[in-house]
Amino acid sequence: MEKDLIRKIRGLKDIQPSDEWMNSTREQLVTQINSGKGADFMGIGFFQWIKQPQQFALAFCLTLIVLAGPWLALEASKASLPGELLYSVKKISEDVQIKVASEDNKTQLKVEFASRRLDELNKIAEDWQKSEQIGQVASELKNSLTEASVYAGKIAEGEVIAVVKKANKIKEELDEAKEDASSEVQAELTQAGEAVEDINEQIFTVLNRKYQEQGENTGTTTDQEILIFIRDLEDGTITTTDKVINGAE
Amino acid sequence: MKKRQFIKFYNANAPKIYRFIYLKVNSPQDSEDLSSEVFFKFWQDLANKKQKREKIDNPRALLYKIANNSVIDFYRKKSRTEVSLDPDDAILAKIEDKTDLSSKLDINSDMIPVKKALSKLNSNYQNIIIWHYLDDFSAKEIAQIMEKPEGNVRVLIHRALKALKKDKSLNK
Repeated sequence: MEKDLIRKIRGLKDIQPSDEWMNSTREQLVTQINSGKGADFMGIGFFQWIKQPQQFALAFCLTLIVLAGPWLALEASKASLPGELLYSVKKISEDVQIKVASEDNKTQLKVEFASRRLDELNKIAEDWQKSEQIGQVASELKNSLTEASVYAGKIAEGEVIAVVKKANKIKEELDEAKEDASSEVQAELTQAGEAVEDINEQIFTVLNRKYQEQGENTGTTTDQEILIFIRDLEDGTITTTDKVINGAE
Repeated sequence: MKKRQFIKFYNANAPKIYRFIYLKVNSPQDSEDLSSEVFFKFWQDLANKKQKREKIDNPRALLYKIANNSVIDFYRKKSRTEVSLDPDDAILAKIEDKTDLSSKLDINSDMIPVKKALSKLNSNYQNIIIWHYLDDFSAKEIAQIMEKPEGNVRVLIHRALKALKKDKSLNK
């Protein structure tokens, strides 16, 4: 009984599609496969890109935009001034640099950023439309130098000369910037100048301690030179940047 | 799967897929259209899986899964206007109702009672009878298509045949 039923079921195998349908569907499938729509039976290898130049060009352009876009924005933002669209990009990039920098590099970076603020201050000083931003930039300049003085005690030895030169050059230019500035801005710039003195003092203290601990004979020539110049600077023997630079070199 | 392999696969399985769909929808024209669609979908599925680097354990099981879903979609489209509290039951009922033997059949008249009895079974039993006794699928392969444990499928094969045996038209 069961075998008979199964035999009857198997009789349904006679249901077959027409040859015409089989052939036409096969042809359609082959056409679809050859046109490369949907499936890729050839595999997606490196050379497959050559067969699809448009996709390759698109992918290349997108990659370029993704990779070069942020770099171009950063480069373009370097010349931006407060109030401009790219200025925020410049500030963000500076914040990131500070965050990832080691403690002995922070002073150099902060002094560098203070120098940028001073440049910005000089550029926007003539533009009365940006008068509101002058106070803000002066405040940031002061803050940068104050923060630089915090880390000055940990400054990397190789960066001491460059930082001292730059910080004292800033101090000199601050005096010029004070002219024609409002009393509020002048107060900020005066405090910035004091922060430069703090930087000098911090570096002087650390190097002096190191020099005394190691003894005069063991201190490096560079240490001794730096000590002399900072000491001269403190005493007022050297008052201009040129003298500091000439002395250090 | 390479192009040549795919065509070979089509030649071997297209008649079976057509027969499976024909037994479910009972219309040569709809069976042809749905069968073509199944192979195109299968081909697309292969491409997608290849892109995602997914492995296909059993291409035949995947093909039948697509075919079964296509039949369900076919009836769902037809019964879209019908309102039911349980849409799945409505679809299955529609599948059973649509196997109208008054339509033109190009099969041997001795098979008509079997086909009629088969059409009275629920959709799962129909599938199991077709896959196991017509297409010679093992319980393991049916389990892959239905995504059920192999043991459950063995029980279902037994019950499906038992249900078919009960049909009086087959005992005449």
